[in-house]
Amino acid sequence: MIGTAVRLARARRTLVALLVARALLLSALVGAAALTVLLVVDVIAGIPLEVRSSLAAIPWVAAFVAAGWFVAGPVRAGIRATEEQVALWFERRLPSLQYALVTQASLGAPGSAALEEAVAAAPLEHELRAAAGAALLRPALALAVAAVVLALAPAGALARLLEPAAGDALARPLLGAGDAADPLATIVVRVTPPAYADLAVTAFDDPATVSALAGSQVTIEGRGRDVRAIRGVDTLTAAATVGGLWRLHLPLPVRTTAIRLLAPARERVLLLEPVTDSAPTVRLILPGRDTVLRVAAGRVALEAELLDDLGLADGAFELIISSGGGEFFTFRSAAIGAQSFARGARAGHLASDLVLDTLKLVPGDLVHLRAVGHDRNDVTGPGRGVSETRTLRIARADEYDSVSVDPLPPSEPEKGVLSQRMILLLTEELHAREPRLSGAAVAREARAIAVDQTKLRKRVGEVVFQRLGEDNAGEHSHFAGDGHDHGDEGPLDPDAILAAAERAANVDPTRNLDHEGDETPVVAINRPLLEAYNHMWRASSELETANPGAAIPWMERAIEALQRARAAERIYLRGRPARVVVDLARVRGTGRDTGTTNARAPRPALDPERATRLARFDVALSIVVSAPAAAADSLLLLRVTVPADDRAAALALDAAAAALRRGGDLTRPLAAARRALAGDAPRRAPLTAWGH
Amino acid sequence: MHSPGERSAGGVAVIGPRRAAVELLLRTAVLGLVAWALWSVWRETAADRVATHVAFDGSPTARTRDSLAAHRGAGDRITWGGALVPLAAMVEPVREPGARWRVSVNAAGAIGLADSLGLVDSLTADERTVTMSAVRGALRVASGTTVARVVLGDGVTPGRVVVLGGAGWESKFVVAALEEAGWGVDARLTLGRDREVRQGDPTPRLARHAAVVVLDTAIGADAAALARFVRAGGGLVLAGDGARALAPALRAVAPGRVVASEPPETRHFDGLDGHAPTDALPLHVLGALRVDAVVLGVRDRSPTTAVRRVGAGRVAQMGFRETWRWRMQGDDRGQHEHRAFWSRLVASVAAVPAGAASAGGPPVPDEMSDESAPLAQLVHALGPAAAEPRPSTPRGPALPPWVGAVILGAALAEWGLRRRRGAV
Amino acid sequence: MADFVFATVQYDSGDWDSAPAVPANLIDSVARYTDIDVAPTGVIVPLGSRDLFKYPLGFLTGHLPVRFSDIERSTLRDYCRRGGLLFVDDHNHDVDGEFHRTAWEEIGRTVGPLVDLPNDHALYRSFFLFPDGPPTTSHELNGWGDNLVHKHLQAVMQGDRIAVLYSSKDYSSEWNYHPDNKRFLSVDNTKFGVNVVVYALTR
Repeated sequence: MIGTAVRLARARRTLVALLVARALLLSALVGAAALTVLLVVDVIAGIPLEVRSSLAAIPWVAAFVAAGWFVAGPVRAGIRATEEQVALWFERRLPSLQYALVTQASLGAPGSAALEEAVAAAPLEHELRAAAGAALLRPALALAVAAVVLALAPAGALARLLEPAAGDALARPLLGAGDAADPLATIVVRVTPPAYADLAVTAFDDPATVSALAGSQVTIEGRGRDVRAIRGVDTLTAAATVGGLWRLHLPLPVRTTAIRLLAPARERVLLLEPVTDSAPTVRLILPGRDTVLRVAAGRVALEAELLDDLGLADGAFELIISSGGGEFFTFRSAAIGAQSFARGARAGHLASDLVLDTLKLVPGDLVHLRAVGHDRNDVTGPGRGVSETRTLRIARADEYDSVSVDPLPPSEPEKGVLSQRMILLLTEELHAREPRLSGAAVAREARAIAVDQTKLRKRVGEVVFQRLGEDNAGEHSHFAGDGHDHGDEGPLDPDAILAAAERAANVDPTRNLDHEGDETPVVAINRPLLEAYNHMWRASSELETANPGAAIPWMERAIEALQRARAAERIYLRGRPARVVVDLARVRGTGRDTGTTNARAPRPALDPERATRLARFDVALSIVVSAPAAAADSLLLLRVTVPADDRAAALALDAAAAALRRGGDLTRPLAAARRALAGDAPRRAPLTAWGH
Repeated sequence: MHSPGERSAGGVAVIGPRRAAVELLLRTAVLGLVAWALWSVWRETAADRVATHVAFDGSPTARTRDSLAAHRGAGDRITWGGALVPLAAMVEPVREPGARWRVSVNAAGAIGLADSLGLVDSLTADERTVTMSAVRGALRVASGTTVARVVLGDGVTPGRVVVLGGAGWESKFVVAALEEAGWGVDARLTLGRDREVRQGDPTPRLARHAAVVVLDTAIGADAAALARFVRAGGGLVLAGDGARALAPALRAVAPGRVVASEPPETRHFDGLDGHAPTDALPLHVLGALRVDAVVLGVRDRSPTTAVRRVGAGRVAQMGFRETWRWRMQGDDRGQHEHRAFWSRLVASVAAVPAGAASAGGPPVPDEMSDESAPLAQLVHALGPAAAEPRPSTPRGPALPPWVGAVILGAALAEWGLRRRRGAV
Repeated sequence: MADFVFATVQYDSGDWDSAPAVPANLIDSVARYTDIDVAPTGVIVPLGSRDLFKYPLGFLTGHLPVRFSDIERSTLRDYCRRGGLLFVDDHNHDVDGEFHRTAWEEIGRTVGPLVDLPNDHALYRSFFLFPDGPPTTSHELNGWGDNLVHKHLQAVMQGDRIAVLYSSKDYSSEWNYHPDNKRFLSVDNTKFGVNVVVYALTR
């Protein structure tokens, strides 16, 4: 015979289990109820995708909150219940026990035989079963009903709530025949990108405009039947009907096209806009500059990086070798270091060596080097990206004394650009943190950056003065802060320095030179470097005063100046051509032949169709109230006629059409569209109006 | 039997002096009281003429305003109040292709512009002028609840423009700018040695041309014809080098003369740093302006552009040189701005085509009548706004109730006295 | 500064300075036949520089491969959009040559495709009359280069305006002599250059 204590302990465990089971049932019921409510609301009113996305977790959250509630309350109370409380629970349900069970429980030891008998005869287990039935039956039944309701709902309807996604507009069950009677009331457009792009299918619910990668396939779906589509003027396509849905497949047009969808009772316009795949971006890292070599021997390291928006296919280094001079040139071309990239690779790296010994180069030859990359575009491409071209030239013996023969590593300006960018990044980062730092901390970090900035400035200065032929003394005369006493440090005067350098080179800087801006190569290369020097000086001064924000513009100007210096070096390697000045006074009007008086043909107005588009816009506006859907269609058709370079007008019309479809306040988008179509008036007109 | 005070003389009662005095007194009292009552009634009636205070929650239509003004003219007391703000709108036709009206608004705060189809545009606090190319019906200009309504009438379609100059970048890009802006251009660009490039018919005729642009000093015999063209109603733009070293005939019509010239290449488009692009153009500084010249543009306190009326036409003198650099060397907006600058400059002098100058146009329905300055027009019609008068306290009857009784009593007494003496 | 300044365009790759006498020769011709205010000497302007916009007519030539840098492409695109005209001449007179191949590629991707310019285009009537289209050069006739007489010039059109004029006829060689030597020619072979200048200045 089982003792009372054991029976009570079992009963207690059973009661706890019962509470847990009831809590789970109730939680599931709350979750199911929340889902059912959302389902009903969605069926009746149609919850927008954005709202559904944020509501998708509601049933789960409700269930968990309910579970927490019950676990925190009844279940926790059940776990904490003592055997006396369990005994009292039985006593309330079985009055015949006459407190025998409580007495037994409170004694904690076997009591009298009479008590034992009374307890032993009590149907505790039966009572537990009855209580379990009462506690679980109703929640279980309610849950079953909810489950049946949810199970009866169409699968797509539940998926709209549990896994909302673009393109599920047609999964919403219909209550009446309203939408079914109008096959164009709700449409879904699915875009399948071309295979090379490795992109997933994207869907759009009720779009006015669909922009997709050129070469995509477009599927348009809706409820009902008897829908046709007109592309362009007269290309008519009938939609197939499958399982209550009409469906149209068509390739994405090569230019922005309005598709007119025709149903028996109405029509609707959908704009399809192709987006072109960008060609790869290719950057040649090595060699870093144009170079003149004395001997065509050795290896030249080649390195390039490639980037693409969708996926790279392959890349290589291309080289063209030109030999000869004057009127007679011969060319050889080759590709080296070719490399294929894995599918989906959006970044790639090319590296190879150019073995000069094998190229059979002779003095005067030029090797033009560049990196080339292709993407996987097999629809409109392949897109081809090319890097800048570097030139290796083999010097002739007779020009050794006139041409600077340079090594291959990056030039000083190029290294300077890189270093200056690093300093700029550090300063920008410090500027961003400035509000959170103490004044002392800002000053400390700014001064640390200033030290680097000063080092870089001196390096750039050294390059200039070495080129200008100044000796160490001259160099020292320009730099302060180096331990020498030469007064206050400050910006240099590029004009004075360059004039001095040109005087030293027996060049008269005031002479009218035939280079743009009257600049000789010496000036063109070194002036930007001197400007960069001065900008760096300003930047370090600002940093010294713990003002990183003010230093940033100077650093940006320094980078820009270094870039100009870099470009100038590439240009002026070849020296200057001869300069001829025509004696205009002598030759004016001496030609033996005479020309003719001739007619000029007028240019057309820049956009003669603008007035027509404005008139059409007005017509669309006149039906905004009576037929907003038709007005939206009119705006979309109008958008197709907007010139490709008038992106502002196209976007404004898109926004106006979308606002019309959406409803609500239309004044702003329509006014914006009208202004964009009319063209912006210039705001910097220097003439005041004169009354008439 | 005679009452006391009466005497009988030959069967005829003779009134004694006391009774006559009483009768006279009573009669005078009756007449006096009646006169006083009538005066009081008249005064009260005058005081109780219609007094109306109108509180506007928006600007009234012209019909409402005129109706109230009519009541006021008829002697009714009309006062008004409401949250109307000062607002005035002015519309003038623009003599440029495409753009048909320039709307200028004077008001504080944001302005909304709407036509019969809805909102057309809006102006911020920084903008007070907008050019419109298509408006349906009257244009409503709203600031808060105050709405001005202006009628735009017909736009103006300008005639063609003649450009005279030498073959060069300025001529090329001025012609291009005007053509791109929609002007019809006839041109003569000289190449030297009696050779030129022609387009259309570049001989200025008022029937065909609205304006002539002179870009070169070498126009020779054309100067007199140009002066006649202007006096007859045509427009003339003397621009750049065409504004300098004028022939006598043109000097007579020009608004001023060039008093100083900046050499080319003294200004640069690089580093304008927010300054107007025209700051980068070399300038022939205008001076010695005639008294009737109007300055349209100034740089560094020196006039850059001046205009004046000559006869029936107009002449503009513009000192900027090499404006083509604005288009080629300016920022991304330069091309657009250069085009708009030249179009506006030519429009400022362009002749109005015959028949388009009538100001009135066809009569407009009442709802389209002009309400271009609602507050000013309301003040003009009804006087300044006034606070709503306090409702007057109810007054008693106009005359004390005893007046009637006294009049009646006095009249009866006077009548009784006369009866007693046998008089009728 | 004179109204018209002849600008030779300098580009990163190639021998942009291969025809150094052409500018002076054309300046001389413009002065001989017209009253156009022309500068007595030309300028050399980098293709990647904003200074290019000071010269709405630019002349580009060379023998070697033409590879524009990004900044050069962007400047050229903007230059043509604003109204500039770039006259490109293949100094190789060889349609199989590297200049031709690479220049066509660069121009095509930067400004637009080159198409044949009809021989009745206004360019051939803008000052002197060339009823048969572009004048033939002695280098075409003597069989050098691609051994072809090119019937047409090519152009990238922007609207009705020439933005890039391309020649395979090697005017760079034809005009590359000192202007004083014109007196030895029975027919001035630079007259077509005057047409190009007048066209650029008036259209």
